[in-house]
Amino acid sequence: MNNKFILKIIDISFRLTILCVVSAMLLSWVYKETKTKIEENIKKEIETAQKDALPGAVSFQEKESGKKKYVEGYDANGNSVGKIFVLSERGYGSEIKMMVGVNNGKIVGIKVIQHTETPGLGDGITKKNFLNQFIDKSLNQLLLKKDGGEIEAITGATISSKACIKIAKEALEYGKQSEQQ
Amino acid sequence: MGNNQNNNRTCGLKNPKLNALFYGVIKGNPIVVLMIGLCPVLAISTTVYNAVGMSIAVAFVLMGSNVIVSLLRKFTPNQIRIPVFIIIISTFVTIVDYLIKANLPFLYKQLGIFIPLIVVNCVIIGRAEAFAYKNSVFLSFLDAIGSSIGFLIVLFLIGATREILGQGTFFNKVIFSNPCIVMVLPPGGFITIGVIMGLLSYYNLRKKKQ
Repeated sequence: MNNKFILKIIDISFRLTILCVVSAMLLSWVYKETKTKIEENIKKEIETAQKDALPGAVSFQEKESGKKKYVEGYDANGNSVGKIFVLSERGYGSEIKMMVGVNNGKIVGIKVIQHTETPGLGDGITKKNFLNQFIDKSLNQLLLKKDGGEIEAITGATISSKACIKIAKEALEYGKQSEQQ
Repeated sequence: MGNNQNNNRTCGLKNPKLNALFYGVIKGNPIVVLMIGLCPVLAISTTVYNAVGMSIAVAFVLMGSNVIVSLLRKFTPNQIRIPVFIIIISTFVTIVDYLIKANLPFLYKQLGIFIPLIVVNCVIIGRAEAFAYKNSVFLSFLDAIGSSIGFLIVLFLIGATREILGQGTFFNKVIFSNPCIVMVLPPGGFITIGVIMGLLSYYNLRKKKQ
């Protein structure tokens, strides 16, 4: 009786182990097959985002100034066309992460990478007609219209709009700092 | 799985194959009749694209798990059937996860955490326990197709309703402006699914009276 019980336990664990091993083998095969493509996708996504943030740049190089990491973009002739900063700021939902391209104290490109703003209201920050307002603006122009600046806030999403402005300002300041060094 | 489905698991067709195929579509629709797997349904049905993408992922996992569970039903002792189901289901879910990540990065960004969460989707383990563990491979496959179609139809309806009313678009094509934003938010999901369930109950009640 006791013997039977132990045999049963061994039998059950043996079957479960076989299944786990088969599953692990299958998964490692799928992982290997898809790995390169997944990495390519991530790389491509970053690259398109960088090209959006710095129009005209063809190659990128990671750099560091102070403690802030940034990406410097170069055109086909090897001249610098600007710097990209990835910054985040608390929005209405949670962190808003943006990629901001800066050149000569002005914003050249801006893109939202990650956000959890309210759909239909705050997620207007990803739309072109909001973000295009930032292009070619310098530090003192980056204020909401009601505060005397040149950025029209999204209706019903002042907090989200302000967070974007804060990120853009921060990027410009970082840009200035990195040039002084 | 509750007793209420045990006594009434067919849809009145004589042919067991057709029975297995059509049970999940209407009579045993996983969402509006059995009311299982509601979490991803509510969370993901904000647009038609998401709804269809999610349905296809669930359909793939459901077919795979039903077939393998049925294949291994003699190999699986009763005591460890649940762990076995979970291993089989999670294997398929991980495969789907990698495949979508590699081939449809845009969809992956939209569905995000809800793909790994298919593991705990009751539709899949429910069908494994209630059907695949007791029936032949082919019948289990048909059952999976039926349930997947049922899942797809309901998710498509909810997704279409929420996208049209909440964003004024259909498959990302603009239909009208000034939409009713609440439909995209969680309450919209509850309202839509409630209305669909209500309509179905109304229909069933009227049918009984006649």
